[in-house]
Amino acid sequence: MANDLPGESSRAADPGRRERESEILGRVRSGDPEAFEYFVKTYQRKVFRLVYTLVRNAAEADALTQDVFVKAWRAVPDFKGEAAFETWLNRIAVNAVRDSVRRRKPVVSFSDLVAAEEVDGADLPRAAEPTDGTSPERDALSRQIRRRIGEALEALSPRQRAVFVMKHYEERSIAEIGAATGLDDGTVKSHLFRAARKLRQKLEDLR
Amino acid sequence: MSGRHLTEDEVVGRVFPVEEGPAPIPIHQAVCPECQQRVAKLREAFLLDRGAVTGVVESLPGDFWNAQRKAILGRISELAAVEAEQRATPFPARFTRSILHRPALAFGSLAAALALVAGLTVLRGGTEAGPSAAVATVAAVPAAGPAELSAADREDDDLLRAVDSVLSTEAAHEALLPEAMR
Repeated sequence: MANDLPGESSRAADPGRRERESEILGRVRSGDPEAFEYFVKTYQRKVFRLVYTLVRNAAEADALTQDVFVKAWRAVPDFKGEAAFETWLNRIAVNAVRDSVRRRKPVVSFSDLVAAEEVDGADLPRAAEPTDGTSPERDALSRQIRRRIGEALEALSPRQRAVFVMKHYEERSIAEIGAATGLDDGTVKSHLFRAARKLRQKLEDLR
Repeated sequence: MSGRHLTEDEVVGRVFPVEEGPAPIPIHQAVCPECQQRVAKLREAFLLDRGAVTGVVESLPGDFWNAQRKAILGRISELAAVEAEQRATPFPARFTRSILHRPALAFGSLAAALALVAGLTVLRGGTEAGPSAAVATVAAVPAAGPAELSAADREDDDLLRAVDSVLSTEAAHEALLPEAMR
């Protein structure tokens, strides 16, 4: 097992990563499943964060993150290395979330999840709430704003949501978003523009 | 005050810019407290939400990540074992068991396979010999004309032509039927 492998680090700070990952992928392809631990360890937080931002439910994000890595492992023989492994992994994650959202839509809506979270507070640890803690009113306002933004994001199509989240929550470049979604730059920008417009309509009374 | 207030689209565009890099601040926004407040309110709402998401991920304990990693690698190990077993066994175990427990089925399958192989061998042999023999025949024997037909061949031809002419008309076709069926 590769327990001494690195955790998260930025791509720019590690230019030799692609070569190293290519070598590890070779080991995975030749039938060494344990070599895949490197990728899990390196990217699990990033994948979870992206998935969680899209689905806003920790348990679902956990299950989907696991699925993403299993799918990636199965698809390693098809990975040509044209994009960075992380970009490829993001693409799998975006597709997995899209499929999951489509499947669950008739059963439970995102608003229900957010409402349930508000009732029992199980999903979001109180310590993680970005409130200043100065007043209960402000805490309540914070939660209300989060719920409203969650509902507004739910109104976006899965693709628009993915593009919007990657741009404004993950701070990815247009090129990275294009690579992760299979869209050209112009289409990514068009989705961003339309997503922002929809959000404006949904959040009108917040401004 | 310089110019008009920002439109709703412009306010959203200030908080969620489509283009990369810093966008120039409109002169009006720089001097209009109302527009500044509208932009700030939306930006604050978004940053609160983004902060909350980051907070959730960062507050998860190491045990969570370890358990998740273990679960992923466990699933992958299981899949790898199944795939390795499939590669090692040319036929699925269930199929092998069913064949061994049913001798009649095994014998029947073997007989069918042998018959198929024999049939294919005969057909292939015929096909391979066919074209070359035909070419050789065409090359060696000049085309036979009507004058060279034997008397028996001519009788056969006449008979076939008569049958054709009878079948070409409906009335004649009926004439071929037994009387009871006309």
